[in-house]
Amino acid sequence: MHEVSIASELLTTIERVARESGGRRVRAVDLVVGELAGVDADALSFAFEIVSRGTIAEGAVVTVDRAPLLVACGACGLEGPGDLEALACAGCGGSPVRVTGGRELRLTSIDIEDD
Amino acid sequence: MHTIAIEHEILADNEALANHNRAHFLAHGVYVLNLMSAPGAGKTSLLERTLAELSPRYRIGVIEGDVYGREDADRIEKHGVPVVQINTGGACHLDAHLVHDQLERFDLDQLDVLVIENVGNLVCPAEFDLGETDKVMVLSVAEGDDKPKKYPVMFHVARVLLLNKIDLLPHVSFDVARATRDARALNLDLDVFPVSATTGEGLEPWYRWLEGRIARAKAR
Repeated sequence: MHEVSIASELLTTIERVARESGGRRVRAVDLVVGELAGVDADALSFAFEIVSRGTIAEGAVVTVDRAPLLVACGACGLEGPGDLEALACAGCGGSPVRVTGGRELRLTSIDIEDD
Repeated sequence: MHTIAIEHEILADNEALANHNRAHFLAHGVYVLNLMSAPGAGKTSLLERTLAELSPRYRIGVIEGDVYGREDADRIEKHGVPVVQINTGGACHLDAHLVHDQLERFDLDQLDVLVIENVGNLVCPAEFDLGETDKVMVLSVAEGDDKPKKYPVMFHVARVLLLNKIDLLPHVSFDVARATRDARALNLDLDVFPVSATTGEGLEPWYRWLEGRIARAKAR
C-alpha cells in the first residue's frame, strides 16, 4: 500500500501549485503512470480521494494515463513495445531487453476553478 | 475552469532527499547497500553471515527497517556493529526521509559500509530511492521461481539478486535457470548469486563482489 505515500506526495505538490495560482479549488488531476511503475492506478486514485479530504483538492477527479512498457530488444535490436506478461520484446518475443519506457510516475496537469 | 500544465515527478521530493543522502555517503566514501526482499527470504541471516565475514576487515553500520519490533537489531547488535532500528509503524517500505533522520546517529567518517535492511515486501521498497549505492534483492527458493514474473519491478530495479536457501533445492520445486532468466529479462545488468545463508554455500563470489564495490566507493 505504498500508494498512500505516493498520494500524499502528490497532494503536497498539488496544494503548492494551487496556492501559487490563487488558492482556488482543484477540480481535476491528470497523471501518467507507467506499466512498470509498480503502482496500482485504482489504489492511487482511491488513496488520493482519502488523503485529499478537507483540502483544496477534495473531490478532484483523478485521471490516470497508463504509459506502455517500452524496450530496446537485445535479440532483434528493435525499440518498441514490451510484453509485461512474458517479460519480453512484444515484436520478436526475445529477452533480455533494456527498459526504455514504462517507469513513469508523473503529475502532468491540474484543472482549477476560475473566480 | 482552466488547466495548469505541470510535468512533475510525483516522487521528486523523495528523489531529492535520496540524492542528498547519496552525496553525503559519497563525500565520506561509504558504500551503501539497500537490502530488499519479501518477509522471510533470509535478509537478516545473509546479513549476519556477511558481517561475520567482512566486519573484521571493514567498518560496517546497519539500519534495520521493520514495521514493528527490534528483533533484527538485537540479532545484528551481537556482531558488535553499530545498528539503528527504524519502525515504520505500518508503512510497507523505508523512504529517503526515514533514512536521512537516522544518519546523524552514525559517524560516517568511521564507516566503510552502511547496510540498510528494508521492510520485508516485494512491491513497495522498489519505488523509493534511499540514496544507496546498490539495491540488493534476496529471493529464497522456498518462495517459488515464478516471482520474477509476478513482481517484475523489484527485479528490474535490483543490481544483485541473491537466490537464497539453495540448501532447500532438493525439497522444493524451484528452477534456478528459469528464475535467473526471468529475473534478468528486464534487467540486463543483474548479477545473480545462488547462495545459502545456512550452509555458506555460494557466498564466496558474493563477498568478492561486495569487496569490489566497497573498494570502488572508497576510491571515488
